[in-house]
Amino acid sequence: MELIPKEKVDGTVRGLKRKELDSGEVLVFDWEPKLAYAWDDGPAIARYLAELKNGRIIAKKCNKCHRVMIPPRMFCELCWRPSDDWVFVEDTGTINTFVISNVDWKAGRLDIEGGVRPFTPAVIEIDGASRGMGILHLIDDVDPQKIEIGMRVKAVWKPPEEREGSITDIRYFKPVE
Amino acid sequence: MHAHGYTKREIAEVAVKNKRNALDHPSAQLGAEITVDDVLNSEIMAYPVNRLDVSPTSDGAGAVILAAEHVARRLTEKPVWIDGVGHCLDTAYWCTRDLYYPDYVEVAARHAYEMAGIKEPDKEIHVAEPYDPFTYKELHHMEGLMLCPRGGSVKMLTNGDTQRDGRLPVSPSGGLLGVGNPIAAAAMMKIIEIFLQLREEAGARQVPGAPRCGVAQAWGDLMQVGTVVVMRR
Ligand SMILES: [Zn+2]
Repeated sequence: MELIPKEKVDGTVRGLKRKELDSGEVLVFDWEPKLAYAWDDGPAIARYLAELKNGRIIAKKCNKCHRVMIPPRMFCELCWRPSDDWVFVEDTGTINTFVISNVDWKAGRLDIEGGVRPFTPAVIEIDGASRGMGILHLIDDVDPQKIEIGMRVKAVWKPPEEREGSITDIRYFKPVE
Repeated sequence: MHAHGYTKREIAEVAVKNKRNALDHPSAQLGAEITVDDVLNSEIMAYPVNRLDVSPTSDGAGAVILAAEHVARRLTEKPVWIDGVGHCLDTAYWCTRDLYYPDYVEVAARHAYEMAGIKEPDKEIHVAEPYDPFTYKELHHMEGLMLCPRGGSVKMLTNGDTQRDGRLPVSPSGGLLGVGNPIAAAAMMKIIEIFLQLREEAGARQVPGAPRCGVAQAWGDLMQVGTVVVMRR
């Protein structure tokens, strides 16, 4: 079976012309994809998000390596076994790393010259979780140039009535003394 | 930068080296003669990363032919052998692991080196193509591949050791920074470069000294996957 006519392979392939599309010489059809999807949080992240709505951060412990893991997970990926107890941790932490981003999350340029504040996402090691256990969140209420690795920060929560069980129930983290 | 006090000026030298090397690569997208100041003065994307610290968006493809030993000997007088392969995945919770040192690359490298019988990678490997989608990743990966001690990659770079005519040429192809970053094909470009270097067919990119052993490495997914291939002639 010959899928592509030989003369096409031999170099007669060319761009289509507008006329060929308009005249119907080339078949054109419109299709609007319906790409509805649902996301299953799973038991660990579902509880994590539900507790954010309550204004609390919850983690999960592995009784073998004794790590307090955040985000919580139903298994310990280092010990390769189910994790154990749920534990509440603090809403304070320490900046592990950060960037001062002049592009947004869609890689579009922010109007920095026009006074838009750069995005300052950071990995924040949460107090009460094991060392090196961090979450990604935003830092705000501080001059971006003043942000440092090792800086102490605290969560700024949305008011309870605006929370919806999302990581954005924490608006951002801000420096504390 | 935080762990070892590397400066942006030092790290920028990776871009200068790789883009210059890429001038000699026939498929290169961003080969250029640039200076450290050009890198530092390029647009800030996400501090401390500037535009010229970043590889471009690319399209591309690469392929190699694998053959059994007896077939390879029949096909060519200069076969290149895959002597060691290693893969390692670290945890997918990327906020939960060391964001500087790539342990997973070291584990993958140890597997590949053991398979290839390499005990002292910094001496036994003659040419390296670590993954360099960003300037600093070439340095991280040189350390993960144990081509230098932890914290030793910048010294090697600024000494000139990683230049094409240096003690251990790194990314003589021009790397992802210079040739381009066609995701999923980029590491194949690196394997092809080692193949050409070992056959002494790399033309203007050829490293001197008739290299006998090379290593190529890929990085990806949630920044936790390391793949290492050791090749010999
Ligand atoms: Zn464990």
